[in-house]
Amino acid sequence: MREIFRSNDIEIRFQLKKQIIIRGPSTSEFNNHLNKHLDLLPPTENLRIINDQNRFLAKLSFDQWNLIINEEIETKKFQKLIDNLNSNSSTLATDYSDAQVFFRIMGSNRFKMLNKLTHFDFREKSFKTLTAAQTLLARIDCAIFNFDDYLYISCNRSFSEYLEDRLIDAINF
Amino acid sequence: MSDLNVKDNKFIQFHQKISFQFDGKKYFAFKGDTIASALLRNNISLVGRSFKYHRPRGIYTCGIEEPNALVQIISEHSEPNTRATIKKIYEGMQIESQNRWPSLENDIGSINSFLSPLFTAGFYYKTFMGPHKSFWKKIYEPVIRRAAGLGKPPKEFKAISNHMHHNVDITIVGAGLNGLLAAKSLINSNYDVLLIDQDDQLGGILNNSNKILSINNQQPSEFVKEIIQEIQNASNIQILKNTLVTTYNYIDHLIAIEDKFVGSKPTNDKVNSTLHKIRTSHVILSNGHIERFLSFQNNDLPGVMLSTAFEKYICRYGVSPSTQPVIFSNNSNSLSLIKKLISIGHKPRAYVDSRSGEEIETELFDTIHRNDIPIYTNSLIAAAHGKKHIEKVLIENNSGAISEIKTDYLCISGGINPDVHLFTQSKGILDWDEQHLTYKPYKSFQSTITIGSASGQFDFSKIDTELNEKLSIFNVDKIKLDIKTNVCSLLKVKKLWEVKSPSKSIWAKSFIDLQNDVTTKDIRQAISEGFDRIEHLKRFTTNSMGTDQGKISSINALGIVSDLLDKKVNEVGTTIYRPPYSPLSFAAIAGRNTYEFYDPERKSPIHSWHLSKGAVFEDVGQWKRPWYFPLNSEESMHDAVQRESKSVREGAGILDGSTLGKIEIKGNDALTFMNLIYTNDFTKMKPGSSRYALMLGEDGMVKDDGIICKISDQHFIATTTTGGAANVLTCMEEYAQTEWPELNVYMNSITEQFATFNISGPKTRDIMQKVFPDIDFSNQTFPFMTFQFHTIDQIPIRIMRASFTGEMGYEIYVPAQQALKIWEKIHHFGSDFGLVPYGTETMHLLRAEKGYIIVGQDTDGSITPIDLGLNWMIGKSKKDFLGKRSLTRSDTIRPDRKQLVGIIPSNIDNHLEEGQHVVLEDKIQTPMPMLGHITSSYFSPTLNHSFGLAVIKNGHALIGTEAFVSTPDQKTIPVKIVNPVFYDQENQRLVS
Amino acid sequence: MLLIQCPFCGTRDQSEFTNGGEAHVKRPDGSKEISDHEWGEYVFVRANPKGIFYERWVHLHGCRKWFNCVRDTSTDEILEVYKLTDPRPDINKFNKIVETPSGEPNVGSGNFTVKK
Repeated sequence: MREIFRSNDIEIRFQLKKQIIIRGPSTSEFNNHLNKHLDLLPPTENLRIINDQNRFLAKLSFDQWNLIINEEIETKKFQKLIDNLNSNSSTLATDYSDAQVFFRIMGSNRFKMLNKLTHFDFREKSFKTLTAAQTLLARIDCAIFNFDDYLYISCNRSFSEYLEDRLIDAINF
Repeated sequence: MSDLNVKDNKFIQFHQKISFQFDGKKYFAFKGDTIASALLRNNISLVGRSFKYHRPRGIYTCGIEEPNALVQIISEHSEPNTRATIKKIYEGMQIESQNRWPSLENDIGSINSFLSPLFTAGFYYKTFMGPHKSFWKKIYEPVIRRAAGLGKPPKEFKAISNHMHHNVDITIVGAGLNGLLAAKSLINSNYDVLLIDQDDQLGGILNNSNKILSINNQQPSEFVKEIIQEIQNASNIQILKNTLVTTYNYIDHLIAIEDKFVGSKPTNDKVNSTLHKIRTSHVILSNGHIERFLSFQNNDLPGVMLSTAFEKYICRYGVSPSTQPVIFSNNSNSLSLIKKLISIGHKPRAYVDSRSGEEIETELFDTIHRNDIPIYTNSLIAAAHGKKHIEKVLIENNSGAISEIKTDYLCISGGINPDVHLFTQSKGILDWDEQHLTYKPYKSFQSTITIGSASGQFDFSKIDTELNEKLSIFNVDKIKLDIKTNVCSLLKVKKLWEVKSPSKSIWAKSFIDLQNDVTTKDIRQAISEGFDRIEHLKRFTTNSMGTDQGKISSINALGIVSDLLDKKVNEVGTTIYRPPYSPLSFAAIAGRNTYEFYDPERKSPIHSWHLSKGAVFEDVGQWKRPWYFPLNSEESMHDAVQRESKSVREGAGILDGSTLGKIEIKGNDALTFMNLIYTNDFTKMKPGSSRYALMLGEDGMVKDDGIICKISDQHFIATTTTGGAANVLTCMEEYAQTEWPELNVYMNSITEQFATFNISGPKTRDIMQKVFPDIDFSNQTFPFMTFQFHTIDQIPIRIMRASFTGEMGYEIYVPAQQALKIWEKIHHFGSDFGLVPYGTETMHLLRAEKGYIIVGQDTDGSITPIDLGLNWMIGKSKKDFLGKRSLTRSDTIRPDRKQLVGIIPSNIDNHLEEGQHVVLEDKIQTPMPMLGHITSSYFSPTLNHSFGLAVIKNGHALIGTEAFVSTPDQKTIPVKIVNPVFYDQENQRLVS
Repeated sequence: MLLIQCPFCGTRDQSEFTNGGEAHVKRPDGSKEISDHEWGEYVFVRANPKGIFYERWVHLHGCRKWFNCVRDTSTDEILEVYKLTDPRPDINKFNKIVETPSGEPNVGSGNFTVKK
């Protein structure tokens, strides 16, 4: 974790996280399969996030779930988890830990700053706590995870320098 | 000179003197002044020369509608066409007048005015399209056109602007009386409200005029202060000042530009302007009205000004342009101006009204009489005269008698138009208001509400009724207002579109569009030439096509046309008002998406290594890819590429292929799906093997290529081209979702998860064995086109035996975070074997020697696999795949299709260029029948001559024959058409 | 800039979406023999009506899901958004549509090609 910026009303940290993108049909069999290996009941409502202490699971579409792990996890154990998830031939679980980077954005000014880069409607009535959204931020694809007083924004790794520069730029200008 | 300052004013800080320069001369004004009010304060009325005729022009209005007073701000990167009536001055501001040479007072370009009978309506059309085109080239273009125009483009500078997006429920455009009242009603409602005003002071008409005496027994200024305070305290309302809404898009999407440096000099380190992009559920347009001017001879002279503008200069800017102007009107709107002038001790020299004594309102008549102002009823201003400023006016009464009055200012009012620009941009429908002789909003197309004068409601006593009715959809509390005014109880207008000139001279001019120098005569001429449709007429005459979009004059033009055509104005219709309402700079539109952020940049996980090795980069899509690695600053690109490719052929080379697309495909029906997407048949393919595959569009043309790895019938990995990665995934998703939803298959892009290294060359196996000692790289256990998964030091690594260079090689897939470590390890062990890093140019050269195509370079969306000679890749026994049926269409089986061949110059000293045409004849003739063109060309260090790939008609049959390649210098190069594989045709090096 | 309601993510700005042309065009079954003409109709020919149009969109910069939409091409008004699995809405449902800005009829001007 690396602090990128900090002021009274905004704070940005760069993080790498273990992440698995899980694709599969929204069936009870699939939910059981996930529950069995994750010990988490996957959210059924689109864009919902469920979380426990060390991880969160977001349903980003009717056939896609993102599992994000907030703690250090042994490579072997993590690999085993992916293999277990993949043990069902109708499910695809892909390691995304190296594919994407995370920006954790806190502070009262976070929405105003982000609205310099995106049209996305951050108002509480449109974007509730513990929901996620995929949208365009500074013209690149991003996923936004909305928690109580902070956001996680993930983007593809190749764009990480670009997005970091844009976030800083949005604070400065 | 009498003092023009009216010091009873709270907007101008008379204690804060400001100096500024106009055309190099120093003047003083006060904090709060616009350029226009500052110039008026200094008794300057000549501020520019007109667009076409270089006529002297002054300040006509006091706002955004200004057609004349456009200036260049030298102290701001020489910003041109700035409206003097809007832009606030600051200490040290340098202003220049525009479109004059050598000086504003003595302008040589005004010769155009003497030539003016030449430049009638349609001048440009006629000289461009007419029979005398040489006339244009020799005289008009070099001499006259140079003299026409507006400001000069700014010098080199980096503008700083940013964007801001808003999502709100209600946007109120215009914080005048109605806008403020609407905002107040919405305080503490459930709606998020954005209140926008172009001025730095909210209040509109309350600040700008003498029209309102009291509201609920409160002084207007007190009323404004209180209501603004309340609105500012409301948590659900955001106020944007100095912000002009320029655009109203579908669906309820507004664009507004905010000036961040009002009244001070913009700095180079802060945002100068913000472009607001507002998505709202409702729009309340309370953006007011614009006064019309009147057309008469020399109505453009400096000293002619709109009545409301004159009133605004007194009330808002504390300057009275003149102490005794003549007022000319066809309506009741001048009463408040007259009252204001009297109250500050000034007195109009005369009041001229086109209406009869009976038609003029009693309040107006009485005020004029009581103050002993000479009144001319049933009269018109027939002409204004003066050299560079108005000196006298000619008044014509209804019997045609003309009298002359000396004056230094003439205030005119031709009626009032609701400012319908935004409403029409929103596609709202207008209707003709016969009472007020203007277009007003009739039917909204979007969620638009118009209130106040913007809706054509000019009666102050009905403001509360209108608001209560129109805001009822928001369930707000009803309001009751008691407004006392200085205006006639009803706005009355008498039709008057123009005053016919008493002078018959061909130089006499009555303008209908001041900015574009269009005269009423031009309108008449256009109609007589048949341009009687309003949109045609607009373009033929350029009427209302200036940057002001004819805000004060376009209705007058419609009126004149309707009279000429003997039609009603609403039958003539109106031209469409297009965004932006007022010019937007490109810098504002671009925002921060310029310079370093012009296009998002993608970087490989080992980008830093390339940088440290001095790589020269090439843009491939958004990716930064190493193009070549020069050894030092001396080594040219050609030398570097020759060296790199030789090293690969003789030793080993490694390419960062991380940008190549990689897609993981899984599901019970993955095999069926892959067989449908690609041309190849994967059914019999062994797990653990890989295959070169083609993807077609439904039209049968090659769309992408890549290598498919089969893990099992349920699990595949596909690689794609760098540029095609997103498209291939999108295409797979599209077919999986829309055509074959019954198939159980899912795909994820793993492009970003893995770095990819392509290592190849005869020494590769030795290097790999050193880097990965636990893996058996022998040909038996790891043959060509197979792949293996390993975990080495806890790092999952995938290795595939494949090559794009023609040498034996491997593709290594490493998780991105470990990529640099492994890459450096390979270089560590590779150095003993002469391993070099190579870039995309060497990769292109090596693959071309081998006859491997690059989709998008050797193909262009019109090439089938058959054209490429890749018939063997088509799974003919498959019932279906994308584009299969198209491969037997009459067009795709034509024998004369362009097909891929190799090209070698007959004389090996000759060099070929990509894009050159392949022809049959040695001699250049016109037209030259073309066989095709060269798609790739390189100098091969292995062959020691230039060679190329080309697509030419019936190419496969022409292999072995000779042709020519045309060059730009009228010569042809003799070439041989050959098989496109130049190197190791037997694939010995690949599979060994 | 339109606002489009993705059936899975909710209402979003148009910039997140890509238009996929006419909806309900069935890809011919590859295993059956069809004429060049029939196949050409599928590959190259699409309706482009003035008025009510059934079309496809994909939420490309969002959930990457395809869906269908009924749009009035003369006003740009989106009349209905429905999932690929939903039945095609009856055209007669859309008789109460917004008047065009120009006052012209929503359907007509010689290019009446709405397929009922």
